[in-house]
Amino acid sequence: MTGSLDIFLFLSIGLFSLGALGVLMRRNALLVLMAIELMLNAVNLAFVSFARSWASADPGNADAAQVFVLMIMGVAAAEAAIGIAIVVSIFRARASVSVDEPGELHG
Amino acid sequence: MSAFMLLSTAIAALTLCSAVMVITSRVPIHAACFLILTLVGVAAEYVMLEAHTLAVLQILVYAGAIVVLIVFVLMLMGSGPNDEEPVGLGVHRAVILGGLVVAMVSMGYAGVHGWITRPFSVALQVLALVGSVPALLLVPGPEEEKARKGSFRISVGAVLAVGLLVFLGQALRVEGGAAAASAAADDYGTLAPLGELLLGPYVFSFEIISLLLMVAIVGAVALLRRREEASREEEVKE
Repeated sequence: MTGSLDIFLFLSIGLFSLGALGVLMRRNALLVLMAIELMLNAVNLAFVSFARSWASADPGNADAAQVFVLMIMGVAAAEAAIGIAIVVSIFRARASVSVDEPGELHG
Repeated sequence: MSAFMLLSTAIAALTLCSAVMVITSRVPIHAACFLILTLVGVAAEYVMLEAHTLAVLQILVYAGAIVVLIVFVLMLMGSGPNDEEPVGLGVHRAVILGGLVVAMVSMGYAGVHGWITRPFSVALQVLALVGSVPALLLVPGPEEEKARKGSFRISVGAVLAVGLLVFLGQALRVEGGAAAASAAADDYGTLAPLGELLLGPYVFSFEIISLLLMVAIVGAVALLRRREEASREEEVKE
């Protein structure tokens, strides 16, 4: 395998930007959650590609980077569970999943 | 340009296009399906990067668990009337932001590779950043513009396509790149070194993650308990 790792970093940037754009644009809370998953995946991809670029020079730390990706996956799973629970309880209370609608805490 | 580059660029293009569909689909179920495609594309890139364990886990955890959870809740709520509303940001502003990202990245790329000097690339980036602010304020917002259905998708796709074409052109010109990959150890990306690290030096964070997942499960159950049950229990207490 030869070649540059730049394309992976480009993909990572693209996925993160699209995820951020999705969080800003969409009003359906579940789609906002999906966009957050996109951003977490972009970060993971950056971790894995930098780990690959260090795989021959510093194998120990390259493996540690992959452990870090596992940690992020665990946090993402917890985030999805809690996020969906919040969305469902908001949906129960007001029969809508728009992120613009709940505003009782707005001062 | 090697087969590795060609394949990883093709997968990247597919992944980016399906990510565009995730954030622009009007039907949430379609967005979830494209999210699966995006996650599988990222898993394929993990395989290209020889992180095989992570690729399997990516499909198991994301496509297998998280997306199924999301689809389940989408089905529960019904994907009818409460979706979508034109995009909140507006087509013009979104295109300006996308173009800004592409400009920043390509300037940085050109600076790293020495096609232009670094101070010059930083200056161009600052210029793009500063210039985008009045541009964002001047273009019509989402209220004024009557965006045709799908035009936003086309414009984001166009920005992405230009970016990928620029990248491909540069990849054809340059051999190597910023971080040329060399051969990795035989057991790189397999389960054995990861397991040794997880239960060795990183055992504390491993346990913290398991605690976090435990708390998340309990929290989800506590959040979703029916209100009637809660009030009934209070009556019993009184």
